[in-house]
Amino acid sequence: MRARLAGMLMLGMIIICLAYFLRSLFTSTPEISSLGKFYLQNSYLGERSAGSPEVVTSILWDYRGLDTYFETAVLFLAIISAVSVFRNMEHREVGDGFTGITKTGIKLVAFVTFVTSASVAFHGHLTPGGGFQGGSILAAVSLLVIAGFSKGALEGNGITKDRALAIRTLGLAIITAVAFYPLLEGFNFMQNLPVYPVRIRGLLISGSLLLYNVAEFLAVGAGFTIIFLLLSLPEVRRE
Amino acid sequence: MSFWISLLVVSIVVTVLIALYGIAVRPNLVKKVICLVMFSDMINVAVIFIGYRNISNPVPPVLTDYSARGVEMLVSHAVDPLPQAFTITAIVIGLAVTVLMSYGVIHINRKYGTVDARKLARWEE
Repeated sequence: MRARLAGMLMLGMIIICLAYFLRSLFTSTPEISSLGKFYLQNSYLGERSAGSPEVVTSILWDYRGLDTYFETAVLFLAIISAVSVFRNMEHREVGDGFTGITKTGIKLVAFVTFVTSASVAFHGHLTPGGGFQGGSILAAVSLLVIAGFSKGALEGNGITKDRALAIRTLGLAIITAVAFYPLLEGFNFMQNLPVYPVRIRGLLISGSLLLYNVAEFLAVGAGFTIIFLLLSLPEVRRE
Repeated sequence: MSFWISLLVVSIVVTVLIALYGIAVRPNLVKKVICLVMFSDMINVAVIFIGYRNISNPVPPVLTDYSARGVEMLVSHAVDPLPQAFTITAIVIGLAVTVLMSYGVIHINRKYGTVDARKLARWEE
């Protein structure tokens, strides 16, 4: 224990000394790149506006939307591969489960986390957050339920593998439809603003950004839920 | 000021080296997975650090005052949004890969009763 502490102290001192001797190598400027400046200027009010005050989301789904479109495809393939590798595992976990205190705590935390994930996804075009982040939090909820209760608890409440697959397919279909619709109107692939309205009845929706965020939220959350359902084992109570 | 930047960069490099050591040397598969997550997170931190601006009170790249003055303030004070947009997708795909690897390790433990790479490869028999 003492040797480990001494090693950590030594490492810390080496880091500090190295940082001190190399400090002249690293200079920083108050300027940002011209590309970043362009995004900051144009995101909400500029001539090439994405209609969103959240600059990261407008880069993600508008200025560099094609990149994100194919990143979604990569994520889709990662989920497919995970499912196909570990599909037919015939095991059963035997246990008594957690106590009532843990289960009640997990119920409360899971509910709050679920609401947070929806909030992060639906406000993705206004505040930091978006479909990817909200979907990851949603996946954490299903993992929490599986870890705290069992696989059967999630399925008993209506979230079966087939339904999660349907939700994920719906999300991907919405993304594809929203991306291809501007082509029918004579605009470019994944174009945002002249095609979709910035506001509906005074409510800022930032064109297609809200649609993309919600669809990505469904696709990512349900996709991870499928993995968790397929890979976790059904539990039986100890006799 | 540049000392702290230097400290950050050196810490990132040292953490990456520790993670590589863990991936290469440690026989425990769980530790390998943890080190791989550490490695990818450090790369993400380094990418986000590219967007750093050396000004006194930087703000996140989110417009709060919906006017021309607000945009001016944002351009003069906000950090670069582009590296942040790059890391978001990398983090989510990293999550998918981590899930895949962790379930692989769990299944290896269920089937063989060990997560030691040397025992799995039957080097010590």
